[in-house]
Amino acid sequence: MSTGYQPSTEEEQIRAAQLATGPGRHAGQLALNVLQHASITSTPWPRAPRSAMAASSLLTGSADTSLEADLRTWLHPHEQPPSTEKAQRFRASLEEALLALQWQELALENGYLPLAGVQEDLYAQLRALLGSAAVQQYVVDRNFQLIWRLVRRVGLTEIITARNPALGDLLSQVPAPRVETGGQVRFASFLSQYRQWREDPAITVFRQISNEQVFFDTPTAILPEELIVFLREGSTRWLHEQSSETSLIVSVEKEMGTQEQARLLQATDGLVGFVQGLSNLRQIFDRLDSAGLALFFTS
Amino acid sequence: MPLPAREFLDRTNEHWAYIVRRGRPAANLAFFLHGYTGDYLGTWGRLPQMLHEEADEHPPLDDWDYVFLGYRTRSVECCLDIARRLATKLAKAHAGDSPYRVPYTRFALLGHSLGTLGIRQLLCAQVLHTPANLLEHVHSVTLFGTPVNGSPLAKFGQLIFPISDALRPTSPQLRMLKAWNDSTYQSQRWPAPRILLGLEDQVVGSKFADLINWAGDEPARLETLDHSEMVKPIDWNCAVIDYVKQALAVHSASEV
Repeated sequence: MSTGYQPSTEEEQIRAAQLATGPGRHAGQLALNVLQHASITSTPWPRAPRSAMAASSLLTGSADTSLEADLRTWLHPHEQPPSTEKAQRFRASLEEALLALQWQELALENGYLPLAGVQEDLYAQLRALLGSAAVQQYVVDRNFQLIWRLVRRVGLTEIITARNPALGDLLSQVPAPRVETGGQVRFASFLSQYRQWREDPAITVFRQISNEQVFFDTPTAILPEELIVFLREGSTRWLHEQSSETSLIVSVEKEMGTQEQARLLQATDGLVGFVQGLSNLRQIFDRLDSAGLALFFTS
Repeated sequence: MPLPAREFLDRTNEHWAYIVRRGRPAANLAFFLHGYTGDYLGTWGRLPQMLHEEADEHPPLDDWDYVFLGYRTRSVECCLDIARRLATKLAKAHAGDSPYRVPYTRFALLGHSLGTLGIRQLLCAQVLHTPANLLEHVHSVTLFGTPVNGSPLAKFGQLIFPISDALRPTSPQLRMLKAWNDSTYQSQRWPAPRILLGLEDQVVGSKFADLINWAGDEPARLETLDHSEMVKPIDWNCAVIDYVKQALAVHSASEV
């Protein structure tokens, strides 16, 4: 059963504040500051929600050319790790800023937040980040489709296209913004599970040891249920068997130092927690059109 | 499009969500408390969404409001910490303090795994009871996958989560809690906890239920479910929903 429920104004403000301090928001501030400064000093943009066509006339200038040159070096090619510490810090921050914006799009798409209360802030952030051609290309290369959905939702499409006509084809294929009525509890479950993953120190160790790409590039929403069950039951059964014998711990102590042993045990605990989270999400999103979630995980 | 009969208040930062009848809050409030490294919403699968959207079409769920309560596993050192977290929320709910819309007079306590130990601790730690006659307001107690003798997996988390100590089989903390529970039950009765264990549960198992009996518990019921599945309803016609409905029925099984 779908519902058209909208949260109260007070609830809406609290949710917006929660997301504002949520995953990625703090760490993404560096990139936003750098790009907002460049955007303000060199390229005036209109304030939302002014007419997009009127605004496009202001977008003929280019961003700070020295910064743009740096950004091209720092962000391209995106598959290769940045070569300098400064580049590493910026790219990590940019990733977090883009992550936070993807969360906002998911929140809007699922009716967890109405657009009206956050539109101006999102517009300003996207305007700052996408004022750089290098960042635009990075978003394209990383296939952050939720960012383009958000661009269309807040009314920046025409302005972006005017600034970079090469993006016209891509942006023309972005589906019209929609609100998944009845999705707010589902989104809240997803958000709380994700925060649990980010905050659980055992899962952090597991991700570090296992090379997080293996699991975090997995499209959870379309992961076969059989695999989830196998991972969940297999991992707990294996641990259960190991725990009844001391051989595992003894062999680990012989082969590894205390610190490594601790990391291994932490990672093992993290594995259980992570698979448990996957199982939770698989159940929550079962039989639903979870296209937005799939995009989040595959990007 | 019709408005649903219930509001959903979500506090991710504070680890709780409150599902309340719009305009006409119920007099009864059910608390759901997750387990080790669980999550206040995710642990229960689609249950929060089902209750938000359709509770009013499935008696006796329509007579209750709901709180999904959580905690950071790394922040609790013993079951008393979890019990105090629950006691704080119960006291607020009984008084009708914000965010609760009305003072609630009847509570159902439902826990999963480690959360069940927090509930057990609350029941027997009278010093935490606000109001002092809290037990008279407890309608039912339902414990999913309760670690009657801890979990063999606890050793893997002991380097990160202090609470893992409480979950080690035969751990001093667990032994103490059981003795506390059994002693208090002699003079202070609470609704007999309904115990659900899973035949496929590799985390806490089910076989210890034959050997270890906590005072007051109903005989354990056994379903072919694993530790995670036993709190995640597939649809409205499944064992999980049956247990929740029984917990919220006008007369709980222990009263009949």
